[in-house]
Amino acid sequence: MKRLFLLTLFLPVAWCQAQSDSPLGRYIGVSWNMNKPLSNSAFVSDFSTQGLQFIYREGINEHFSVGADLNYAVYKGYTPRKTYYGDSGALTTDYFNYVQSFGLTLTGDYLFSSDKKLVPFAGLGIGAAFADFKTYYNIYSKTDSSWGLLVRPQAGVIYRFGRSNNWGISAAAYLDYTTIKSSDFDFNNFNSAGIRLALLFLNVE
Amino acid sequence: MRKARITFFWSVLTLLAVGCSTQPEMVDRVRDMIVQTNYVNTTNFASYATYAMPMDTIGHVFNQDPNDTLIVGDYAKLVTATLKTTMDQIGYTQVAKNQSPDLALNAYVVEDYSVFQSVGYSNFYGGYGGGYYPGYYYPGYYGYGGYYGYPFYQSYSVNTATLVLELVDLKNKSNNKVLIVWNAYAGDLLTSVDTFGKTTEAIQQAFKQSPYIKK
Repeated sequence: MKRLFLLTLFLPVAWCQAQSDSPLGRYIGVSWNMNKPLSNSAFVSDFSTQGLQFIYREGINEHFSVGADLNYAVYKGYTPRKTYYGDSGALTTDYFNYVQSFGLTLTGDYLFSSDKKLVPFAGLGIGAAFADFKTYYNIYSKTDSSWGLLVRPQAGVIYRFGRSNNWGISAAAYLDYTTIKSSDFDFNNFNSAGIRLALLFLNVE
Repeated sequence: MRKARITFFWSVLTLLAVGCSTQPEMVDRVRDMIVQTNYVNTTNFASYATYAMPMDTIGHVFNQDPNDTLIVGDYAKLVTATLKTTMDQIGYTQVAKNQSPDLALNAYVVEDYSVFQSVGYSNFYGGYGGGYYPGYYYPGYYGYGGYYGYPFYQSYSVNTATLVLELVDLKNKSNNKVLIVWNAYAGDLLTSVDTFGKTTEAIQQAFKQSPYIKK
């Protein structure tokens, strides 16, 4: 999985030998990501506004761009104080649950009309995900981590401020499907849905 | 211009990264104490009638100062008074230790050792890493609190303090050994926002989650 992670980092660069005449050209961006877990809601269920993403794309032609996305998100959940009973005792506590999620995907986007100011796009990213699970109870904590496969379909729009202006913004929605799991926390195939608001730096030379 | 853009770009990224908190505030974590209880589940607690417990003094296990084996003062008074009230409400009668009590009730504070073991999310696994625990026989019972070579907890946990309670069966000795039939851990005492108030709540919770302790 770590090899896949590194491969997704370098493959876009190798693939795109030269920048095409794509109107967006090569662009990079940073985004604020908001995510909602779709699975394992017993552990983390809160809507997360703590996400960010680094975006890199190379324009292949008028309609296609490829690149990579590096994303990070923090998911939280809280289990109120309750008593858990076992065969020989009981435990009373509350739990603060955290998942730190990292993803790196090789991504391809289809641009529906790249010559206009507003550019709708749809894309697919495939790569690796890593998650660090941690639960806190009083001063104590327990942790686990996992690697997995990440698949991210996404769709959104890019708005260019002007043909002579290299700044743009983007909004997109996406779904993250991962094979991340943790037996310690009964955590399987962590999936989430999210939206992102990005600031783009277009036609980077 | 290009340099300014890149600087702005990385500033945005840095701000987003800094805004991501990865752990809860400590004040939220320690709002209430964690309470763990364990018992020998074949014990008939209704068969006991009396208990003995020294008032106003509890034991102290502290690796920084092994000779500091007793705690006296307001905290010890609070703990023993709360225990007496609770035990009396259940229906047990406190007697002096020379009056052949059925149970001994021990209370002591373990500092800088880990006593909570194998706590898992949404589950309670039990399990113990050191010290004496329910089902374990004391090699001999000489008294209460502090001075009988108290437990050899194996794992260190710096800057923690846990209140440990034990019920020891003095009624059914085996080869002059006595059995711990119940214990409770409550912590953390050092970081608690209200050590005295939360200790009282923790003691009450320990008995509440042990409904088998009844007359």
